[in-house]
Amino acid sequence: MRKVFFWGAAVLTACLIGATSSLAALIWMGLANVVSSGPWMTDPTTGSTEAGLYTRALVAVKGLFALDKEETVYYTAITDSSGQPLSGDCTYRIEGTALPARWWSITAYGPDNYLIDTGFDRYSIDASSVAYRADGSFTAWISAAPKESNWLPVASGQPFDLTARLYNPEPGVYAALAATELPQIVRERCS
Amino acid sequence: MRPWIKWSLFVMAGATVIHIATMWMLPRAIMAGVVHVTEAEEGTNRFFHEPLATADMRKVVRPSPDIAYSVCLLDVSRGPVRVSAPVSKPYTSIAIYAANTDNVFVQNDQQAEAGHLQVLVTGPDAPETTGAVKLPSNTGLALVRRVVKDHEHFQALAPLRHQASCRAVSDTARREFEPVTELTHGE
Repeated sequence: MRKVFFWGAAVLTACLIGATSSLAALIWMGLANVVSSGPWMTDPTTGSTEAGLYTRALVAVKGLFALDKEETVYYTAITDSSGQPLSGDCTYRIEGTALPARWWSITAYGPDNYLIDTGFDRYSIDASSVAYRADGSFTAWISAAPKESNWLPVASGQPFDLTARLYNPEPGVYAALAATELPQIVRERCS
Repeated sequence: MRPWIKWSLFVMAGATVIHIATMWMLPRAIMAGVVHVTEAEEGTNRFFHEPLATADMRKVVRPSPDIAYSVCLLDVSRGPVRVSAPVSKPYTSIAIYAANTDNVFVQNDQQAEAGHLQVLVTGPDAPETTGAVKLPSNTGLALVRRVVKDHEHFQALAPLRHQASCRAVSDTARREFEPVTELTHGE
């Protein structure tokens, strides 16, 4: 009987540690090969057969059916350009130029990894919809309160993150992911 | 060896095995879950067309609200499956995913022939076939993505989306994709 308890406790403890460490790996390790360009992060092995154990598992949880980097590059921002976590209680100004791809979008997601229910049926800004200035630059706004144009709504009282999708990125992008010029995320004010 | 040392070593080894097994199984389990739910509703080797993603949709995490998705669950256990779709601007692609979620093939509208994207998908035991995509197992998923500018554009794309095809290849049709060995012998 003593042996049963002895080895039973060992099996239970092994299961607990194995499961907890797996969860911790997904939550805290993030992407194994992450590359950063300002607040924007990406993993060059996302979606491809080169992906390691952790990248494949994390992408399955957070970005199922991602495409290989030569077809689409995905950058995610969880902070603004000053490193502060993105919050629906704040207003952000997105400053940039057209992303270097055949088509692009920037989409906001809630902490549950789904589109955010703000009541406005608007979830992204993209190459087709954004209004540019004459010099090719644009300013977009991310906030809970409506803006007149180039506005991406988010919900107050919760964090959010942004995913920039670059479909058919220019060759220089996937050759040098850290050097890609991506919009600044400037926090204007918080309530 | 002292009992507590044996115990600790066992726990460490066991935890390591469970950790690695969990990380290895996770994408496969997620894919199997998606396939299981979808197969019950839609079957295999036929396209179904998703509505535009909204905040209400919870089937797959982080969907793009600007993409019209068309999905085909692939079952190549009885032979190859041909996947085809007409293209639309500004962007269309066909992607094939293995059961472990790896993206094993992608082709976009810039590579289309006569306005169509087409790929033949075979299973792990199939002979090598020129131009075909070989899955590491008998199941997978084909995903057509079309960029959608707005709701009106999405509505206008409906007839085109329904022209996409995902079908098991008949013996007659298979002659169009002759195995490499047969071609060599024919020459």
